[in-house]
Amino acid sequence: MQVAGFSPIPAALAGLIVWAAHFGLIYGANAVACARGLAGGRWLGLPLVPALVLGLTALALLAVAVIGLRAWQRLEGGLSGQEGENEPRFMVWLTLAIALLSALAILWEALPVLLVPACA
Amino acid sequence: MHHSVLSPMGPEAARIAELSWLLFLGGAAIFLLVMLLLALALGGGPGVRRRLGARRAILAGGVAFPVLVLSALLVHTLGVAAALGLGEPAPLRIEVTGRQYWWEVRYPDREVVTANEIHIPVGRAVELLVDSGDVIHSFWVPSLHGKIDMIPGRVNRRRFSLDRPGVLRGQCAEFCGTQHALMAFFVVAEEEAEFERWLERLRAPVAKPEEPFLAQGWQAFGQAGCGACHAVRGTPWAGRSGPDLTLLGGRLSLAAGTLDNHLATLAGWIAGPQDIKPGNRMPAFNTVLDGPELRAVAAWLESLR
Repeated sequence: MQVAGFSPIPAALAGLIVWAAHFGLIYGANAVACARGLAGGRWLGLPLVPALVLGLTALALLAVAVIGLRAWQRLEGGLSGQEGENEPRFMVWLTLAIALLSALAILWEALPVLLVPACA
Repeated sequence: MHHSVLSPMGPEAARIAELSWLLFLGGAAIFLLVMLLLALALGGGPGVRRRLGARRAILAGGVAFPVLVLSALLVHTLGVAAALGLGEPAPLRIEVTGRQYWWEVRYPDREVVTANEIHIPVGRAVELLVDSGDVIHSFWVPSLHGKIDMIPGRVNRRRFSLDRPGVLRGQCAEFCGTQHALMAFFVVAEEEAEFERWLERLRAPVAKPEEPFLAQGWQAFGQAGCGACHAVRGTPWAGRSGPDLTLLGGRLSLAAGTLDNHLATLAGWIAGPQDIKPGNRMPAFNTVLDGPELRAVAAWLESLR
């Protein structure tokens, strides 16, 4: 799978990239909603900002779950015995660990939306 | 005087103090636990050391434990933050504007303005509205509430109340220039009746004094141009770029918590404010006023209480 000379680092960082995108999007969405007076707004009967943030959080969690699951399968599957040839086992393990950490960070940063009033 | 998170003077401050104690004590307990485990790892028998080094112990102590503790703290802290945002209806509104390097205080419903000292009746719900007239400042009275940023062009709000009388010290908590450290103020928590009397005195127009020495001070105050920047209620002087001086003699401090307030410090401040608080906006008046005039101006201002 890995082309020679192609760094495996982006795969390991995939979880962090999802986390950063989620953070930027919910921070931006909340700030724009507060600045434009949309914080109390509703969309299809749901409170706008919490619904948007929860939607983005579900998407982000799904993405890190896919990343983590694929890494898990590679750890469990055909990787053993090929260490050093294709993808070092350590990098796959790192991908999985970072995906778990990112999932936790995504949950933690979505929590204030549910517990603290917006724009306070 | 109260100037500590650990000396709360109202219910909001009490919740913050509780949270602080939880963090101090919880942090201390976890530190002791880690030190105990370290001692066991260094000096324990082979069985203990094997169990401490096992993968399961590392996952439980190094991953599961911090995740659980931090998640619980996050939920608890956000709960406190959410509770602090709620308040009773129809509170007393107080507006504070941060300026380099002092505080303008307004009671919009009572139409009074003062500076560097906030009087608050005990037991009343207060809504504080803060902004800035120049750079970013931060309003912080540790015994009252958390820090509140004062941002030009934006009004930040907080609700709080005080449950016993006392004097609380506040301090600018966001670096705002050379005299940031000398930008303090006092909160005077007093009984409702006393507060109303203070408001009455503040609203009463200041008349030209009868006593000749004080009248000379009034005259010199006008001639020196003090009224271009300062206001005294009921007089022709209504400048707003410096602190309002109505009831100046009754305040706890001069120059935003810089000096004790008495005749000598006041005269010294008028003569040489740049020597006391370099970089503040007030020019020195030692070349404008002669000695007797300076003493008369200071005496008149000290008589306003």
